[in-house]
Amino acid sequence: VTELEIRSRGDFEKARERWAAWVEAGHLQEALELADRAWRWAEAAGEEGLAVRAELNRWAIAVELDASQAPTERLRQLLLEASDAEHGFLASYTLARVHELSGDLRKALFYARQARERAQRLEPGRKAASANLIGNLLAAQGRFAEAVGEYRVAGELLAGQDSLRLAVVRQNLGYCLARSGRVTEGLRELIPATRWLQERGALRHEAQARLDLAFVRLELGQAARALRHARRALALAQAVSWFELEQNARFLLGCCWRDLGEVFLARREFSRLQEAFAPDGDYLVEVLLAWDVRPWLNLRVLR
Amino acid sequence: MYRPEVAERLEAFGLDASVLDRVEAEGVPVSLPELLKLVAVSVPRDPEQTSSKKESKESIEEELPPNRWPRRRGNPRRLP
Repeated sequence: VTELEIRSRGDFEKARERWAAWVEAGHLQEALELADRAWRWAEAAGEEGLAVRAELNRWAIAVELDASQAPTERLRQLLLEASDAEHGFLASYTLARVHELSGDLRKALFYARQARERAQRLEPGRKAASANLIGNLLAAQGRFAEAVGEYRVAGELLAGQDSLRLAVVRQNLGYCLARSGRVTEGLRELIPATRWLQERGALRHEAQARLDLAFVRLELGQAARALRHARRALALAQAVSWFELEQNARFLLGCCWRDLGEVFLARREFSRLQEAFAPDGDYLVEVLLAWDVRPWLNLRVLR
Repeated sequence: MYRPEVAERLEAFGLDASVLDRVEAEGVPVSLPELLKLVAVSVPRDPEQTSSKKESKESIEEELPPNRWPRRRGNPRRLP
């Protein structure tokens, strides 16, 4: 981060390209530090437009790291004052993410639609990002068939790209197709997307994709195949210290063992969930062993 | 939607099978914490466990001798 000095507009653009690449690669902390430095330089240099751009970018990254500290009021102000489509897009997209992460899906959808409106005048990547976000919010509400439509739009906008964005959109599309009853079609999207994510070392995304695959394989009654994905998802979730994903992996692992008739191993996974979520509910393990509640689980909502 | 044998197994553990109806009534798939919470709050306390606790309390009370001393008001140390 310290290598790049920002002393001019040219340096600012180089920094912007670099932090965008870091965000894409999942190096959010490094991206945030660079965006902060660019923001400080732009303010000191009296570059008003660049300062707003850098500030919006730094909030967008910071929200991904910790949404609880998001300055909603400031973002609303930036949205109202947005002088161009790019600023309006960034402000509304970030507000949508803030509300999504805090669980207010209605408000999130409102801002995501605003982001899409502003993205119409921007490059295809922005349009795809807003369509993907709207898809995520619909999927989180269990509106899988509607989400499929949004992911298709995003996929078409990114078609032919060799990018993380496209892999994630295809993964989302695959999961929602499967949840809409189009399981084979869903697997056609999910499998290549997961392969891409694994090859590029996108651990967090691969963990989610593996969970999706485990879920779909269980849906097809292929518990042995599902087990392989659930185990990999658990290992990845632990490697990236993602608690919510780890619990989902444990739940699906328990389902796999139960469906394979390995009651002892299923009980072990379900007991861990009971300890985490219902320490006094010793009956929970028995319920989960006796009854497959998996169809009521939505992997697109984590909290 | 659930099979009768599942309901039977739940009942064997002293669980009310209507939990299944209540979770199904939610309709929309939810997150794992919400799902487990939903199952947890829908399942009533184990009636066997509750009744055995009550019984044991009663049996302890039965074992105690009846209180032969009349209850006195005021400071018991105070002489009449």
